[in-house]
Amino acid sequence: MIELKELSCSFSDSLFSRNKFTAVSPLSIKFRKGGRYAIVGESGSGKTTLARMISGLQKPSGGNVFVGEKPVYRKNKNLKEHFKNVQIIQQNSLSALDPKMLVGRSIEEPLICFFRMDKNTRRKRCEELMGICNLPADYYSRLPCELSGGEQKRVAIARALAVQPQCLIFDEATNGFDLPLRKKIIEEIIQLQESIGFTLIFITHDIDLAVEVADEILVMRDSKLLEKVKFSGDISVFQNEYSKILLRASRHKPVKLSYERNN
Amino acid sequence: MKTKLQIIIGLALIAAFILIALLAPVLAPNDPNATDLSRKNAAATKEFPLGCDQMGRCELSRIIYGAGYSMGLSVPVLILLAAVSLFAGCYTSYKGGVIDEIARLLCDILMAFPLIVIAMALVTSIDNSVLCVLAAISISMSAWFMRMVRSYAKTECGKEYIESSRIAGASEFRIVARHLVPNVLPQFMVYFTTGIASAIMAVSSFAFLGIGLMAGTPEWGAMLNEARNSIYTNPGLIIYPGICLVVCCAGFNLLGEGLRDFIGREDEVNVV
Repeated sequence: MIELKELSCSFSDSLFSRNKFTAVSPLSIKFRKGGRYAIVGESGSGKTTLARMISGLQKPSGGNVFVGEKPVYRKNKNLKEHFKNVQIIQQNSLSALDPKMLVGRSIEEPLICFFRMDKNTRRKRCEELMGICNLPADYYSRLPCELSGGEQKRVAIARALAVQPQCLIFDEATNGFDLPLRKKIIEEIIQLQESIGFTLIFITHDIDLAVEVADEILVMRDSKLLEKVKFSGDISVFQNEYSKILLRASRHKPVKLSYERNN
Repeated sequence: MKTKLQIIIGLALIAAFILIALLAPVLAPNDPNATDLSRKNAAATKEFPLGCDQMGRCELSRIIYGAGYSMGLSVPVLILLAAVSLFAGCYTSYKGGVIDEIARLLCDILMAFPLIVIAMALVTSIDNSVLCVLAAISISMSAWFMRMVRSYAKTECGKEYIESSRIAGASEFRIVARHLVPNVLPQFMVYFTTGIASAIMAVSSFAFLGIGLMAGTPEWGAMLNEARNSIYTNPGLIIYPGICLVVCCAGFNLLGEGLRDFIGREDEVNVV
């Protein structure tokens, strides 16, 4: 279980300036194990900063993240242990992969760093992971720029799964994909989650996506958490005006996914 | 096509000069240091294809041995220097904070002094030796190398893949060695090859000024200096080493510029 306690983040303009820009106002959330969450909000609402704080990439200015009972941000503490628990898949998968490193080697990196696997086990596990993510085995020796956007995203997912994390965060998982591809990727992610059972957090500006996949939806605006609802297909649970505006503004009806909602 | 031709010509020239330098004892028709005043400024003969210099030494042999001096001194030093500044530059810019600031300051301070000032300071205060000249070149060139590496490494550090390899559990050393260095290397190679050309020029200019190498050494710059007095009587003595110096540097510069265009194009392809 991951718990955020009074987590906040603000940036100052410059070293000497007293003006502070608040990216995330103090908020407390609990993410239970195996849950599917979506954090929804417009650009600049602080959702990416929140995701970065949960994943250990951005030091919070107040509060802390707890995995189990242990605080993540401590003095002189290596975050490697935290990365073992929580993995984030970044917005732009092309720039999240080293352009000079073969796809296979990128996927093997966590296997080397976390599990110290030898060459043969590593290769075997890598091919297994590529199979899970629907990547052909001969992609092992390709460069990221030779892959399509969807394939790059799958490489990033394979790489994150290699760590066997308890929690997987998707920062704009489907940004820039057309609808069929978006549907496909989301379905694949959900299938993976159901078979492996990690906590899934989607960070998205797309409320349709949130409504489709999540069983708990958190709406953010102007660095604040507006509401948190348990969602099971009925949009009347949203109380906040802003959430309703977001829902009304969505362009299309939620695409019916081929998996069954289990609650 | 033009880029490829540039790279091929550059590589061919460099390879030729390296071969000449390595095979000098075999290629040279005479001993480069054997003086014979009776042959002073002698015209070209079969035995001395480019004639003799003001001390009666075989000009061709001296030029052939000179290739070894010009490149043999600067290239190994530069390779070592390049490796060190590549790692140091990448590491400091990845690490950030105080180390980063110190590295930046150090580069700025060293870059403020021209190479020749550093060389003269070292030579007058320590010893008029090749080592001092090489040390001066190392000091001033490493600042430029490091500065250049750091500016590219900073851009790379801002990219998401560095962050994602951190999440993948990579150690600092691994990130620098496996991700930063390979990504900075292509641009660095361009700078490095043109750097070799300027280092060769620097060694020769110092030799011309009498700094570093002993008088009478068959080094192109030193030969130019000795031939100054006979510029009207025997202009060949100044032309031949001059041509060698120009062509040798041109080889490295052609390679460097060819690589730059080649890499530039590759980057464009990557973006699309």
